Formats: sequence, structure tokens, C-alpha cells
Amino acid sequence: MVVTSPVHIEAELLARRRHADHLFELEFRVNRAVAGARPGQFVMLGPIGELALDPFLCRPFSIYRADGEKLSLLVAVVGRGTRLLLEIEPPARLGMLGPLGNGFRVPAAAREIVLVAGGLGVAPLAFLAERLARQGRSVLLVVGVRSAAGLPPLRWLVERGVQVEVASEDGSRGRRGTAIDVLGRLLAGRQLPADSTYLAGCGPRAMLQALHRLTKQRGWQVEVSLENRMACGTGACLGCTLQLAGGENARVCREGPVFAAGEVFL
Amino acid sequence: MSGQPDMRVRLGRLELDNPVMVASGTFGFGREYEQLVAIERLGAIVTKGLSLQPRPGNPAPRIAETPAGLLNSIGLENPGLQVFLDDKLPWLRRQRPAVVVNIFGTTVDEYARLAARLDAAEGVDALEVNISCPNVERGGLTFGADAGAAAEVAAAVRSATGKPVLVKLTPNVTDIVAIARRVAACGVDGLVLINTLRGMAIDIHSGRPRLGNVIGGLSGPAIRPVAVRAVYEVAQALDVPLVGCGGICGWQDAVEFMLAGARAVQIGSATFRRPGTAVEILPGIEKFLRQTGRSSVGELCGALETGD
Repeated sequence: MVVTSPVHIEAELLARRRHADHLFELEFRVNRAVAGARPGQFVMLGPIGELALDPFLCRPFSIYRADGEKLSLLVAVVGRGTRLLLEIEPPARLGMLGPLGNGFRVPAAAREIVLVAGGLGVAPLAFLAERLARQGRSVLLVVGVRSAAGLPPLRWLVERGVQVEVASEDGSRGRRGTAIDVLGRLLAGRQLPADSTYLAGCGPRAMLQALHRLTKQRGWQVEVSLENRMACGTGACLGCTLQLAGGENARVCREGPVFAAGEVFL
Repeated sequence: MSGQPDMRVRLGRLELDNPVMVASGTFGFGREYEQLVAIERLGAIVTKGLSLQPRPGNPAPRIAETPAGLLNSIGLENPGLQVFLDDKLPWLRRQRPAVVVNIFGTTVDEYARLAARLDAAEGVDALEVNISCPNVERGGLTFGADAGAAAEVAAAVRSATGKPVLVKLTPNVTDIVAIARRVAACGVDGLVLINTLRGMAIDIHSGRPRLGNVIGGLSGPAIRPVAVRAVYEVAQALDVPLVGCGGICGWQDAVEFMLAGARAVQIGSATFRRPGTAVEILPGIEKFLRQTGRSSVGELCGALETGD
């Protein structure tokens, strides 16, 4: 695997697009090193305002799209930091450290590829789906949201040949239920071969655990992308350390954020 | 005044090319920042706290952002001495900066054994004794908050190694000068002021503490005035070399610590905001020295004027 060295740059915020009530896409001009990120990698963004000390830390964001010298992130208003971030009017400059983390490892032999996103977890999986579709590989992306109001645009993925299934808990778009409910129905009765089936999930921890429960007897390769609070993003602070199923420690920022599902869950 | 000011500093027997180090726990074992920071320009790398045996650290969440800083309760997760010697030190010793190994034990004997093992390790330039971590049940603060226990650890380490010894003190005490005095009397090469302040934050929506370990250590600019005060008080009372640490984000902050009485400084949390902070503040310090007609950084040490 080619590992791109992370760099610290001043990224130029080019556009802020509102996709839904609390969901925005921030598009940046970066450089080829950062935009050369692999799907599943992330960047640390910030600080928000070079001189402002509150919020103090940078924030990790999965990469949603990357092309040439441009990169975009999906940002939802979840707290004070993201609210302040989304108040920044483009054009503006923000510190950016990346690309960080390991990224998804889709086997070359995978023929059946299923990606399962919950909420904002769609960001890295949309990036992965787009890259795989560009290679001419067939991809099913299941996107679960509470309601249609939480959906980012998915048409661009469909246009590139990704098969997209939407699951909404309130039934306002696509099939009613969670991403895992819909995945279960889609997989029911299908005999996917163990050696050429790959699944990846990103979303709330409970969803990833459900994905593991649903798939662990099948012998497929299943990866999950995790998140955690982190200060540095480089492996130095040990703030994002998690205990894996086997009892050993792993840093989400360095050994992850993508792990084999069986490494994380029993 | 023209020409480059002399940036070399001396902490007892430890000589550094310049006064800027990276603080323990914020720079891993150095290599984490190999690709991001011009490491050769650092005065010293202070490693993550090291214990004899590996430690898994504390439960998540371990980090909580707070105004102008952060709380952490990492709990001294580290791979233990043997992994350090085998896997971390070979890279570190090839780097230009001095290598200062931060050591931690749960008993006086553990500190002494660590110091003795590291005394024999080529490439370790000095030890920094951590008697001030607020995030562990045994050791840490239980030594650092008591002058007698602090001195006992300092003396044990001092006699276990011929290498320079720095001792990192806690601000979580009523009289830091009393503790500094007893530790300095053990013949250590310098004192590092300060480690984190004990703190706590609550998520009002969940009704739960924001750290898995409930209480953690506060760092960042929020604590800088406390750290400057600690350096000033100890510098007024004692003649031991001091290293200032606490919330330094820019060259001005480093100069502030030096005026208060520090010979050198450590950059900690600011590295998380901007990985290159420690090396980027050097030109600012040099420019300030030239502008104020000083030919060496040592001239700043304790140059504070408090009279009329």
C-alpha cells in the first residue's frame, strides 16, 4: 500500500454548500499531497481562527471528495466548534493536516462490494464508492438517515454507476428502517461468496456492531471506520486510543480509522 | 546589535542548542512528527512518559476540549522500557536534538530502576522525572505533592544515574517553592514547571463527566498565567535552572517565561493546533533578542523588572 506522508498546509475554503438543514459541504483548494488521500483517510481541520484560542483544538473530518487539488468535507452542526466553522465565509484560509490514517483496503479480488453508511458516516463511503465505480467495479451503497432532511446529495454517485439504496427511519425517503434493516433485507437469501465479498461500514458504533453481528458468520471481509475524540491526529497524544476486541490498544488516528470488524467487535 | 544571537542554553550539565523543547506526552517518541516538523531544529525532544512495564492507560474518552485548552486523562499509556530501548531509542538517538526521557514509577524503587537502566542507554541525554501526573492512582501526584516524597524520588534517581536529571513539578500544591527547594537540594540539574492542573468538565446533556476517568489534567493557554507565576516564585527563591511549560503558543509566550526566570521552555498542547509550533517560535525569539540588544538568550532569564 502506498502511504502518503501527511503535510500541514493552509487550505483555502472555496465554497460552503448547504445540503440539508444542518448538513454542509465545505470545499477546499489544497494541494496534490492532501488531495491524493485514499478513501477512508481523514484530515485535521483548524484551528478555527488562527488567533482564537476557543475552540482550541483541530477537528478530524473524513474526506468526502478529493480530486486534483480540491477536497471536500461533510460537516454537520453538532456543537460549538462546528457551528463556528460553518459561520466562516469563503474565501478563507484554514489549517489542514493530512492525509491521516490508513484508509479502506478493498481486496483486488472483491466482486461484491457493499458499503453501509449511517448518518455522516456516508462521507468516507461516498468517496470510496466513487473511486471504486471509477475503476468500473460494481458497488452497492446503503445510506441510512433518520429522515430525508439528513441526506447529502447522492445523484453524483448514481451518475457514476454506484447503486444507492436509501434507508430512512421515518420512511420519508427510500425504504423505511435503519441502514442495517435494509442491508439485512437486501442480503437475505443471497449467497455471496466468502472470498470475493467485501463490506465496509461507517456510522454510529451501535450500527457498526450490528453490521458485525449480521455478517460475522458469513466469512466475508468486513471493515469498519471508527471515530473518536483526538487532539493530534498523528499518533502522539494517545487521546484516541481504543481497546480492541482482543484487549490490545489501538490508536484510531494511526492504526485506524479503518479496522477489520472482527478486530473491534467480538 | 547585529549577527545571530547565541541560542545555546545550559541546564546544569545538560547543554542544548536552543531553549525550545517539546513537552512530554505531546510529541510521542518523536517519530510521530518526523514528516511534519523540522525535528533537527528542536533543542530537545522529551519523550512520552515511560514506565518499567507497559501501561494500557485510562478508559475513553481521554480528551475533552475546554476554553483555551484541553483536559486529558491518558493515564500514561506507554509501551514500557524494553520496547522503548529496542524500537524507539535507535531512531531518537540519530536525531540532532537532545533526547530527554520522561520517567514514571509507582514506587521510589521503580524510578530508581528505570533511571539505572536508562543510565546505561546510549543516546539518552537526560531524564525528566515525572512526579506530577494527575491521571494515575499510584505514583505521580502522590510523590509530587509532598515535599518529602518528591525529594526521596529525586534523590533515588540522582544516585541511580550519572546523566542530567530534570524533575517536573505539579502546580496542584499550596507551596510549589517548598517542594522545589527540597528537590533542588538533591542536586538535580533543573526543574520543569509545570505539569497539568487537575480539572474536570461535565456534559450537561448526558449528565456525565466528559472524561472517562472523570478528573484529568488541564493544559493549554488557560494555564499559562499559573505556570508563569510558578516559574517566577521558584526563580525568586532558588538558584536552580528552570524550564517553563504551560500554554506556550507563540514566541512571545516563551519570552514571558524566560523573563520570569526560565532558561528554557517546553511546547506542549500548541503542537496539536500547529505541529511546527516549537520550531516556528525560534525565529521570533531570535528577532526579539536582536531588537532588545541582547546577544544571547540567556540574558532574558529572570530579566523581569518589578521595581519602579
